[in-house]
Amino acid sequence: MIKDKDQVPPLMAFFLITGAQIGVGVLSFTSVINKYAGHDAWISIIVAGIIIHILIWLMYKVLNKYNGKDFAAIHREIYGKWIGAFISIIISFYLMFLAAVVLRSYMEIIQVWMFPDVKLWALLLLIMPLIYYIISGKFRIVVGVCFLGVVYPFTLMFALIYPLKYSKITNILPVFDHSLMEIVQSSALAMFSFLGIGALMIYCPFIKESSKSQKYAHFGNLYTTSIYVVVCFVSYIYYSQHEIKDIIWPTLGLWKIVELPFLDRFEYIGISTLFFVILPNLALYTWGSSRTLYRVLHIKQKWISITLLTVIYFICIVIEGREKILLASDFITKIGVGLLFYIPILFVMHFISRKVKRNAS
Amino acid sequence: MPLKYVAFFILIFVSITINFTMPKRIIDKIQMITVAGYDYVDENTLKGTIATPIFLQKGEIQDILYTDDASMIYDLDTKLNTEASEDLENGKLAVVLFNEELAKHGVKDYTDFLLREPSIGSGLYLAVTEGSTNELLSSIKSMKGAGVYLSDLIKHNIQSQKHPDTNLKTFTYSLECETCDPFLPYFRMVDGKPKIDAIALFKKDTYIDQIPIEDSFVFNLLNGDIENGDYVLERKEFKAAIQNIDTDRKVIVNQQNGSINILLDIEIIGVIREYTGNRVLRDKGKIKKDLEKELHKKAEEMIKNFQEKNIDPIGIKEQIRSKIRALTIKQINDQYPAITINMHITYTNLESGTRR
Repeated sequence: MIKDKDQVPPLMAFFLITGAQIGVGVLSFTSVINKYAGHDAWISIIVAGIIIHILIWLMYKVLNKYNGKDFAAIHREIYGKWIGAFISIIISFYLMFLAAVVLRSYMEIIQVWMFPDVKLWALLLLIMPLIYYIISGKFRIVVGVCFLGVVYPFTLMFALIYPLKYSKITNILPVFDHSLMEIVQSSALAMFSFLGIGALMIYCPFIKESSKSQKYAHFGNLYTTSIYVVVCFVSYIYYSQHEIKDIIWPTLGLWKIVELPFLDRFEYIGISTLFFVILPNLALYTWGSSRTLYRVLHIKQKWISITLLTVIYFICIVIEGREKILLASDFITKIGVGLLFYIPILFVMHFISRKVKRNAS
Repeated sequence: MPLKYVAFFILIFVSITINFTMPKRIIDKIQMITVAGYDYVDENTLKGTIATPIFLQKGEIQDILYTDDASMIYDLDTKLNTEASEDLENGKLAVVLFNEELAKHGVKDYTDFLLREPSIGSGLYLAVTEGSTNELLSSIKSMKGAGVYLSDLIKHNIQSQKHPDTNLKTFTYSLECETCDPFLPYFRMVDGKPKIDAIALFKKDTYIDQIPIEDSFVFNLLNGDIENGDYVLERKEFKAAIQNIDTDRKVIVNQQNGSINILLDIEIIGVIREYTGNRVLRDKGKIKKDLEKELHKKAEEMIKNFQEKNIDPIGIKEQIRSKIRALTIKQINDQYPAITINMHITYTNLESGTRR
């Protein structure tokens, strides 16, 4: 059982959900999701946000039934010891790989925009101890990082005022120019930006009176959705659709127009501040991964964390160049969306297992 | 647990020492390119001139010009580095000039590096020059340095509405956009000094025509809203200087029986600051009528010229695309030269200074 002083108040669910969702993808999602819906893709984000709301609701349905239990325990109860452990291990590997891809994507931005000559393997040595420091302590530290990861980067939103001067509202007109089908197709792509909510099932026991936190989890998702809609809206009125499809990081491109008397290139501040956005991602994913492995394998969490970080370190070094990074992130987001659909399956499975068990007794 | 911190210390130490050998860019050891000019030589060669400032003493700057032939911008950079005493850096690039000849052959190949290079901002100015850019750059004798001088020159003209808003962002936007065409300032040497003499009009990335800078007010009027512009109305009987002009452009798109009708509804509000006739108050109606008539005539000619050349620097096609759902971009582009564009210009005089 988790000690009372290790638990966090229900309000923190807001920061945990948002911290896990907003990641390095916020820089590039606008030129990905418009594949089908074009300039209407900002509507797709709202659609995707609503779907995530439903998934969060489903998760809480399951979690409330198994009061105070996490992924590993629920899996064991539903599927039995061996299959349950297997699924839990898959999920923890997924989280580990996701953390590696997030870190590598951020490193790529540093390489391209700031220091083309940086030695990646050496720079990673600087970040690994930081992540280890965060996840080796209490869960409260991870939550603290999530809190800062939501509060600090919010100031970057003000930088979106500058591009408005060169924006044309005609770029997103006429609204609803694409069919409903195209908007839904794009919202499938937009779902990639909302990944990471599954971690809720892992840290749920650490939230005091977890059923009360549902409200805040929904607020967290609402916050993420609105941030994405604002970023997307500004990008789409600033760029024409023909222009944006060639740009890898449209959000960084928005900052290129920012002019400050004491600073020529705002991107440098933006990219540095973004580290606070990816830090919660990294901390939460690696923590979730090591926690799940610990619950299944019962090895000391310290050794699991060190192993995981070593693996992440080498994955980051192996993935080299734009194409491989794209390949890796495509791969991981596809699995991620697959795992999102695992939530409704879990919901159904828990019903079935309850029925079966009731009949058996 | 001390072991943990020892491990941390070793990792951080290794990381910092390794990356310490990264090439450094110290301000005294580099030369910042502030302006670059490109001239046409032949199909595969361009001649590039760059200016980098050298700081002599407080407030004094001397420009050093480097020039060479090359096939690509980065090829040029490599060649020029063999001439320069320090490493040349692009980070402070403020103005890029193309000569008319090069602009006629298309500039798209030479704007690519501006977009690809992360250290170059979108607020950079592009311009076309009549003669060679080398000549223009070597003519500038200013304590500010050529880059700052030219960028200030363009910037204050944009701010005072002498030239429509332009920079790298608006240029590439119009270039990439499927329905619109870009424009740039056009420099000409007058008495040994560069002067913004016209607005260079492009068809996609090739320069095809220009509008004299005197008509830029009319161009601005059609292009969008003006804030704080000015205009001089010259008649035989009187002259009137109209200042503090605010305008409001509305584009009304109508589709009837498959043909598209456009009405540009432009409202102008201004203040008369100088008047050579009798009394502003008495002649108010006449000034209003004459001004509206003159602007209407000029605007009509300008739009007719755009339609004949099949270019759209003022974004009419984009307005059609955003208002009529049924039309594809190709249909709009095909129909554009034949579209009827009507104008409705109204002027309201607010004040007449301190005299009646």
